[in-house]
Amino acid sequence: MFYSSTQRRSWTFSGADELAKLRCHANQNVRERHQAGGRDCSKLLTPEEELLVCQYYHGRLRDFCVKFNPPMPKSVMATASAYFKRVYLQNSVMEHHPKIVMLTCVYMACKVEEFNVSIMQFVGNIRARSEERERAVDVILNNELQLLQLLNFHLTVHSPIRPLEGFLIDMKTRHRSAEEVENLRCRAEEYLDKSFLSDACLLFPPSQVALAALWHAGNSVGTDVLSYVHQCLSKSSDKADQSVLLNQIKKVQDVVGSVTQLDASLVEEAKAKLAAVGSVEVSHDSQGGKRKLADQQGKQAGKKKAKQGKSEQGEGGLLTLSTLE
Amino acid sequence: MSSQASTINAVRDKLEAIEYPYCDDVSKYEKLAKIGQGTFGEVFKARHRKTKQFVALKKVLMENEKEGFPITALREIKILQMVKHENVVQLLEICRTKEQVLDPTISPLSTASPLNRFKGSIYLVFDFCEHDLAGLLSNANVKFTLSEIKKVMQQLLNGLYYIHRNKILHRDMKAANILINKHGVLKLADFGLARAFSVTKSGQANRYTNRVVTLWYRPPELLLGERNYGPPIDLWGAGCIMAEMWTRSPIMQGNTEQHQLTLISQLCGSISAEVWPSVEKLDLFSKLELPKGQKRKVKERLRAYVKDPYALDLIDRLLTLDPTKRIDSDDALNHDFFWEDPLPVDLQKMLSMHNTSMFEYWAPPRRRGHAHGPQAPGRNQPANNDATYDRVF
Repeated sequence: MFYSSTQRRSWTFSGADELAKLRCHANQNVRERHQAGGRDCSKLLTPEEELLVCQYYHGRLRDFCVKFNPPMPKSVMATASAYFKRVYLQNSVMEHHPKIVMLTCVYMACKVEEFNVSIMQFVGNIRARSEERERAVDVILNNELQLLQLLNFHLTVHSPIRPLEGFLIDMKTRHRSAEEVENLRCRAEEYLDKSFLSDACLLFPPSQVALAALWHAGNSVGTDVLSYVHQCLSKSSDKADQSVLLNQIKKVQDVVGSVTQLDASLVEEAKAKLAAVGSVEVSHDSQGGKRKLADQQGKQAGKKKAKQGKSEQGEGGLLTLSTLE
Repeated sequence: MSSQASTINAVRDKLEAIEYPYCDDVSKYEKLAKIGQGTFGEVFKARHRKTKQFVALKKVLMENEKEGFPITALREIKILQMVKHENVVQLLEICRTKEQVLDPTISPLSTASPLNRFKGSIYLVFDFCEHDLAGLLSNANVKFTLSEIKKVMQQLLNGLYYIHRNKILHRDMKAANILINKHGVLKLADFGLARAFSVTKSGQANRYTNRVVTLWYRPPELLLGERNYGPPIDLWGAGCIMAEMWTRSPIMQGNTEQHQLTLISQLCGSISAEVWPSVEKLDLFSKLELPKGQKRKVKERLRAYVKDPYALDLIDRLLTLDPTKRIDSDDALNHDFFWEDPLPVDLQKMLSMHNTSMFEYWAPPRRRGHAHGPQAPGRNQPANNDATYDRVF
């Protein structure tokens, strides 16, 4: 039940403002740590750039899911999307690379949604050379536990897919012909696909997103959904309730509608910045608390430094997987 | 090597630099005693260092998991976060151990060992319960009156009713998984084998693993290879446990699946299409040797222990061979057993006479004349070609 879920309790927020605040806070944390280390913050990504990178990789997440073989149920994509959104609400892309997080989210969603694929089958969907796939196995499994913790082990995602199905069935039983209702399905599902990319899963109960999808579908094929909504609510004859719900649907539409084509050049800029910052973060950390150990293992300090750029690639492994760019 | 070493150090440092906003370190609890051990891992009694609250810590076993975090553990966490009922254990939080870093001896480039990735572990933290039913039954000083047995069974069936209503199968009913706290409240525990189930859509049968439930409590449909099963599997276990309230040890202690089916037939009568029309469709029905011509003797054989006719009748209905005819938890709760005198009474008073915790893990073996314990469910069996199925379904 959504009402008693961890989603409602911990992952549903009051509005776009609150989301923006949380994301700014995540960005600020990185800045503060950077500053404390006496480093130059001007190279760090701004919250806006972070958002852009997230949106870009979220698009990659969707593409990966859509092309997945064997075909993946929509619920897996919905769950993976929600995980991805949750992670970057409270963490910066400068802390966890979205490319890795994205794959780990999808792999975790497969398990949680009982879409049973082995890890080898899973990485088989990464278009890359076989040794890179092997590396992807390591990267995904190494990051799984971390993802679980970032999600606070809140695994169940209530997506609007089932509520939509419920509304369609309900409409059929109430008054519409099955054919008329089925005409709505395609458009409504398209709308949900789009909603997965938006912040809707962080702001609204899934049933409201489903209703907005139905509404949208009704408008585009010329079926009256409004009267259905009124009919549903007529039992609670309270006019205030009705206007609250209609208002909510408008809000959903605003949020889902804000998903637009990304500006490719801006994305490239932000990604390049992330690539530069990422290595800064790593090389700093390796000089931190564990320097002793590092020194013991790498006797030739000079050589080590020279290779640090390379080692940064090894960390993600996937950073070399150009196909995911 | 040096480049690899620095790579690894960089990764480790990065991992250590991360602060987890939610997941607490398990060291905030002080481990006091081990209260459970199975192939599933260890369970400890522990106390919060500050609040002094007692809890049970259950470690999530990560070894031998080529596919990463085990799906069974994900299911357990998902289910536990969803359920909230007096007669189901409550998950308080999830903790980790600190040393969660990459093993520096494993190169990130190596493909050899996907195992042993994490040195750290994940612990599930539960409300502490003082006893488990197997521990209580193995102590001859603990005596249950008929009213108290009714209370135990009523709570057990209430818990089952709740989880089944929420589309969850427990799949490991046995006395050791029934916890009772000092206030006399019973809790279904160990959802490590549990899963959500769906009501079969027409023409599309579920394919769950049938290698679940500890052998002595395993219902005939699972033993015969059924993969499209449902809540009745847990009610068979409830029947075994109910009888055990009087016999004080498990009523059918088979050594093998074949042996278990023989014991079932000897108690519940021959397994045949006559009493169970759809049994012929099950994979193993024709492949296993099933005793023929056995009469059903559930009431007859248990009468020596169970004097109450209502109790006998309810056990008889729970131990029905055909799962479609087996009584469900709702009907069981409405059975006369619970509504005829003497009525169920609180367990707190009886338990207050016993100051020490009783767990099966601490008790001497209750079984009669067997060198080995019951065959554990699917997750405990050695890996073979079916292993994927087991993990996945």
